[in-house]
Amino acid sequence: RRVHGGAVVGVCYDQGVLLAADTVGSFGSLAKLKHVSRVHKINDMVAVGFSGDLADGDCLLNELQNMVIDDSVLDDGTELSPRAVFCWLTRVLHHRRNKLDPFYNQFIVAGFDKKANKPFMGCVNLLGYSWEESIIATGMGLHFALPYMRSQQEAKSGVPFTFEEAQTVLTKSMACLYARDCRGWPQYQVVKVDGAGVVKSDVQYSRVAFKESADYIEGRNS
Amino acid sequence: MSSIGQGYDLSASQFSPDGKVFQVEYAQKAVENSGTILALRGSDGVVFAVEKFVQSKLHRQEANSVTRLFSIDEHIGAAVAGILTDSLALVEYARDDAAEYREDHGIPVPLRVLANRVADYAHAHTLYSAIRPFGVNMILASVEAGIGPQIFMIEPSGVVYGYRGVAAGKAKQTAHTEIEKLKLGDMTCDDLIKEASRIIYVCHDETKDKPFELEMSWVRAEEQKHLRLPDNKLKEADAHGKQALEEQDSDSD
Repeated sequence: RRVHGGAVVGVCYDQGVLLAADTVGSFGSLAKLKHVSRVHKINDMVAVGFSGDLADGDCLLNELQNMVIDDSVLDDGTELSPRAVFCWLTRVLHHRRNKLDPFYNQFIVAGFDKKANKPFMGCVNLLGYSWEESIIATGMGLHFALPYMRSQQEAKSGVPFTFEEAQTVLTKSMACLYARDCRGWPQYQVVKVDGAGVVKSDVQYSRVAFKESADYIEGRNS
Repeated sequence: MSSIGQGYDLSASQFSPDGKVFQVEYAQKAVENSGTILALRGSDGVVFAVEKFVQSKLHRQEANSVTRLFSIDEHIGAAVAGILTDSLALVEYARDDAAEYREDHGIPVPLRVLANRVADYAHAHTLYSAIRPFGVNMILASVEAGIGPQIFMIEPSGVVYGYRGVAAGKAKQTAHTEIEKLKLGDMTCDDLIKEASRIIYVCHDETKDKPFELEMSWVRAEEQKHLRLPDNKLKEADAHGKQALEEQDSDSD
């Protein structure tokens, strides 16, 4: 049993990408660490989020952050692109899978591709398998968030989400995850990536009304 | 310099009868042949200025391909005088060392720790016959919370001292005279960029030296990062330096 993180949810919209993950580090069924950050800014173009083993995730995040410092110190006007981070993570994860010693994570790489002038989002898992998609959810999000996100996307018939629509999809996905995932947590962080840069929000909270079970709950107001 | 090695200058592992290690002295000579660099410590940061000789008009400036200002970590800047390739090696060592410290300790390396470690490395190259000393003076500067702005300079012998203002290279004597006149503690970086530029322009010897370009950077309390001067600031400083030179020339007519 090791400390692990829950779902990470990512939604692309016309101008950028939104990534969200709750702030709990679970130790089996124990909500051990309440203020864990699982979505991170890498540089002005890229953000990552990870679920799974937090030690492994932090290790790779630390490597990425060192790579960013190396870039900035070199002062040659280049920085890691979203695809570069995506490729690097894929190669490292796949390499460890081949040694039967995986980094036990699923990463979402969210970025703004400045050359193509388009948002970018991709997912890499512990097998080193990676794919690009405009909606991604890891862990329990696969079951609870992704079907909802897909239905919302299909309703748009190929037109990308607007920022407001993406926010709604994200908020509802995070609320659903808190309500249904036993290891879920209402407190989460959101990272927004667009052409202007990467912005990490303050902590947000899911508001869930347990209407069906209200009758069964006895409390101060009953 | 008239003292000749007379056989005691062939390796750094030998003292001369009058107590000198000639290889180190010769390394210092290499630095004295290089373009002037200086650093000034003000109230809110440190300013670097470099007299960068233009070796060829075909150099591409925007790639920073020819530069004597480097970032060691995000918060530490370095200016180098002397043999450029030796400087690049020393900068690379400093960068690796700073990165390792960050990994091991979880915090960015404090400037005095880095300066001492790089100085030790430079000193190590003065002990053996198999290798030669670095022909480099490296000025390191940073601004740290609770400490403020700091400058350290490492010499080929491996000594390292802290300074309020320092220069190295061709015109270091002239530059030091000018620096001593300034009340550095009362000046902000915005003031200092003008003074630094002025001193570089004044120290440049038009008759003997190649044409030069002014290269400048700073580390300020505001950003806590080593950054090249923004374009508008560099233009401002450059113009000030040129003007000061004209005034000096017209004064002496």
